[in-house]
Amino acid sequence: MSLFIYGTATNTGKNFFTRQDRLDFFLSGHPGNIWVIGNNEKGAVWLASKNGITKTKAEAQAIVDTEITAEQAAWDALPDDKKAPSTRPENITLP
Amino acid sequence: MTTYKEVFGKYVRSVSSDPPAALGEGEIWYNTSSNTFKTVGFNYAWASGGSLGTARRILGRAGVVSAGLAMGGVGPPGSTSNLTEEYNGTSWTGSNTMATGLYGFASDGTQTAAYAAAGADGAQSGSQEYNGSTWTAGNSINSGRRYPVGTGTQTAGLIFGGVGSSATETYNGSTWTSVNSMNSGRSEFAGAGLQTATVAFGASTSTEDWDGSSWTNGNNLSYSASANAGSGNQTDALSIGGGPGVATTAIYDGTSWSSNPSLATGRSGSGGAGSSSTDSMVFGGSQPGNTAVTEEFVGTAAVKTVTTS
Repeated sequence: MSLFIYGTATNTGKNFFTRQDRLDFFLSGHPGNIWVIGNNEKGAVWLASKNGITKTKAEAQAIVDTEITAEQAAWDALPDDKKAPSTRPENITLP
Repeated sequence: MTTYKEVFGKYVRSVSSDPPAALGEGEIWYNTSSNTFKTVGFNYAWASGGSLGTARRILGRAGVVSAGLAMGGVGPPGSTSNLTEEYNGTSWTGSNTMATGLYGFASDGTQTAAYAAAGADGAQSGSQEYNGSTWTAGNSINSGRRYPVGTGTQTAGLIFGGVGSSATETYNGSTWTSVNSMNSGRSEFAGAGLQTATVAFGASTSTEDWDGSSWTNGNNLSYSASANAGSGNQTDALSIGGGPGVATTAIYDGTSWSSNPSLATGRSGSGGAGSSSTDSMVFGGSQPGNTAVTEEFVGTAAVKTVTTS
């Protein structure tokens, strides 16, 4: 069994995830509304309750890559004094 | 050897069962059933808060979780924002726009009395004040710069650092006064505290403490942060994120940093607000890509066994 579930879900604000959720399962948000969720019952229930759509790891990584590539291009096109933060967006490898 | 009673004026009481966590805060006791010393600590985790109306990064901050303030920043696609939003602990509501849109500036205060100073584009020297409704222009700072950090209040403010700058200035609500400089100039860092007691951290791992007259090097941050957010006060501060996708959180107790639970959404260039580790939030920033997401640092009191390790 893999350690994580991958999915897309839109953060709706307050109580989208609670303190208790964070204690119950691993949760990590990424560009493209990608969420990496600890693979246990509570994690799976959380994604379903947020109308999330399950993705394979490869699908999730592809969505993140597309977002990062777009952000890198946007950052490169900015004048130097608007490159803020000054660090160019870096590729993210999902766990 | 110094005894507990000599330090605190009380003996350590012996009990057969633990008091409720909420009642035991600040106490230490001996549990005769488990033969262990006990105290109360906090179990922290980040929980989602209401999202900003407009996603942006390198924005300003002020206030606390129940009455927060976000202003300015860089919106898409690289535009300078003049937007102001107020947080009530649940959701953000738009307010009147800043006198001048800014990003990479210093700010702090409360939701009803905040200041903003310096910033980009260029190296701004202007300042402005918010009264809970509208922004008005204030007097200029002495050393124009971008990416400084601000702490304190509208009538007792402090700004320090910035690109190529170690300059520190105090604000009395009317006039900016140059005071002793930081030991190391820096930009894209964070701070927390008051005009008389502030801690600056980030733009690497270095920490400096301000005592109202001079800066002293402190113990290093437990991770290397760039464009991190800060909240709390000099003896109970949070360093939040800082760097592309960085979700790390660390707490400063006035002496050293300790690692704490990570953000759900790692980010840099976000705003941090709050008065302590139990009253802290982070909003906006770059994920990368501007985010509107707010997270609140929630701690719940829990009985813990005292160990020597």
